[in-house]
Amino acid sequence: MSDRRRLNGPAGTTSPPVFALSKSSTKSSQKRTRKPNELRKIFLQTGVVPSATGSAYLELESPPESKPGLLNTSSTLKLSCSVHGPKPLPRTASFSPNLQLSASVKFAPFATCVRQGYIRDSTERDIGMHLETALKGVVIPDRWPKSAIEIAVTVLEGEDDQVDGDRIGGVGLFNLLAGCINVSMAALADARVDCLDLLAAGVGAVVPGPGKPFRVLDPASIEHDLILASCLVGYLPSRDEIVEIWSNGSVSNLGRDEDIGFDGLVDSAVAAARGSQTVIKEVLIESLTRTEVGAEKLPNDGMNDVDMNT
Amino acid sequence: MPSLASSSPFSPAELAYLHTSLSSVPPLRPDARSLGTDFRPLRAETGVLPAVNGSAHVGFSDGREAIVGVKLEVEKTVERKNTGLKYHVDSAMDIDMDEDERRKQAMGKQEWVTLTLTVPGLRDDDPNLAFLEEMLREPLAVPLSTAPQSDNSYTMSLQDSLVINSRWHWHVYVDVLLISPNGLASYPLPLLSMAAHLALRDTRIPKLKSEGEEDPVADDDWMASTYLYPRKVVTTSPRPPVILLVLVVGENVIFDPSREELAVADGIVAVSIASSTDDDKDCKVLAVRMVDSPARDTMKGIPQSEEPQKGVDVPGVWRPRVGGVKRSVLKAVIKSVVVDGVARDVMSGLDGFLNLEDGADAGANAV
Repeated sequence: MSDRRRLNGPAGTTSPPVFALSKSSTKSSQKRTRKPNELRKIFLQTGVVPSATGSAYLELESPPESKPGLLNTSSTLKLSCSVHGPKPLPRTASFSPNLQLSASVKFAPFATCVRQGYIRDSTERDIGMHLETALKGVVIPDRWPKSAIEIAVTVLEGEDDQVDGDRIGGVGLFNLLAGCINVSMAALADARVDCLDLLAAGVGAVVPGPGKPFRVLDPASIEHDLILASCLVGYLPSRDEIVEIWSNGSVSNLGRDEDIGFDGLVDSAVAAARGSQTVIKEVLIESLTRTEVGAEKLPNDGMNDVDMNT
Repeated sequence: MPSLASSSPFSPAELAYLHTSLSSVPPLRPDARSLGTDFRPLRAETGVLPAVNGSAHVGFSDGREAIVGVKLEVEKTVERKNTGLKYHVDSAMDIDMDEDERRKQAMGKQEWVTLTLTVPGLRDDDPNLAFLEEMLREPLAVPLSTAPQSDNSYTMSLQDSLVINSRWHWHVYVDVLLISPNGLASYPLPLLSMAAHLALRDTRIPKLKSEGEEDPVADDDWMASTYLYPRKVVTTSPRPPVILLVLVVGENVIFDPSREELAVADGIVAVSIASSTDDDKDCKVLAVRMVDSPARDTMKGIPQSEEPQKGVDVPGVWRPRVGGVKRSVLKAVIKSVVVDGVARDVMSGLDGFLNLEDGADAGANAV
């Protein structure tokens, strides 16, 4: 569907300039320096959007070296998430005994190498569905009958996979979704929505190694030339349950080679999810102590609300 | 929110009954199929549309039908923007680049496969539609073998076989039309994927008269065309993927779920499989996705006796599902697909159908 309501620039006819690399900054700087089971550092903060019920901001550590050219595959992620609700369902909606959750993901126009339009494209809708599936598994919907909650994730900077492709894909999309799930969970907790557990998402992958393929956690697309298989899970650690799985890549030798089979892939993604859950937990505890300190200063805050007993 | 969940036509009592019977061992299925791995019969035909490269028409016994047409177009390959780079860098880099380019040249791009889905009664910007389209398209792009690139025999994915030369390639358009009386309520994924599978195997590429780096010119003779996926009796020849919809109820793993069974699922997993191109018999998992279960958004049942206590599960009274699928159960799903041979059965069934149709064609030509 084309966007006819705005004045849009020409679609896909211009290309950003590419400059030749100098000899000093060749590919060697892009190799993975982390251990296979080491995650990238995550920056997470809750309560960044004052007008929303709950909100959070997530950022992944970007590689330390300077960018060699103007057009570079950035390997970083900046996400902002806001939660609106729970609020009553509109009068036109039919009765529902459960909380109606809807989630959406939108790229900012400047989030990737190629400009994103204002209308959601199929990738954004697809990611939004994944996010919605994951979050529906973690909230307890019958605590809020006849109400709705909306979760909106804005991608400020998306991990970009390829230099010349015009769509974000591959493992960059997996990392993006994992970030979306983590930031939404932090925002949901910030909004004090009742959940079963602290949901966390992680990505595991199988990459070709020197001898045989091996598993890595949290693969960044810039660090690997070829990824054989990748898997994302949304995981509830205290229940050992998986609310969302998305894997891609041919997984064979199941049963013979446990380590890089499907089971191994899921286990590595779960390990990554456990890792990011510790971050979410820390951040939530930190924000809780911060708000408690704030509440002591203003003891009457919250008491002056309009009485809702009708 | 017109998700597949919101319009569940079942009462809490019906849901409780269905869930209890499906979670018993062995599962009691509402349509009296004896095993969790039993499939319903289906009708299929290929080559139904005259103006396409390949087509298929598949009908399930519950009245849902899918028509798929595959079209091929010759398209100019967009030049890689960094090709000019070679002139600016020293010779050591040059060799490096050339190797890279050569490797990339044999590889196609995912954008060369376009899949569109039309579901009557669904807006074309519905996220469910985008989700289904992506789910059908995604496994097509996965390379069929994890073996190193040294032997280029069968390691290619669909888009890699579309390269004509360095300047031209084929673009595949797979257009799927669903005809269904109940929309997405009976999740039509297996139907759509089987129809797409058969259509792709029916697809023929016109023979090219041009060679090498020439602009492609196609041969007029349709009989000289070759199949996109070679039809050989050899078990190792590549085949398009098939997506199986698997239901988890309790500890049970149930295949080919009907609408009633979907309504009470603890979890729904879509598994894309392909026959292995290696010498072993096992099929491969290409992609796995989870679909939101409609059982989450349902009305809870009230026990007849009196006020229900909080958190106490009364047997036989429906409670909406919360949470996800246990990790061990999910692994069991994949095991039953790959190791226990459901995937192999499905693939051999589809093979058998195509062989039968080939035989019928040959018979008709002889008469």
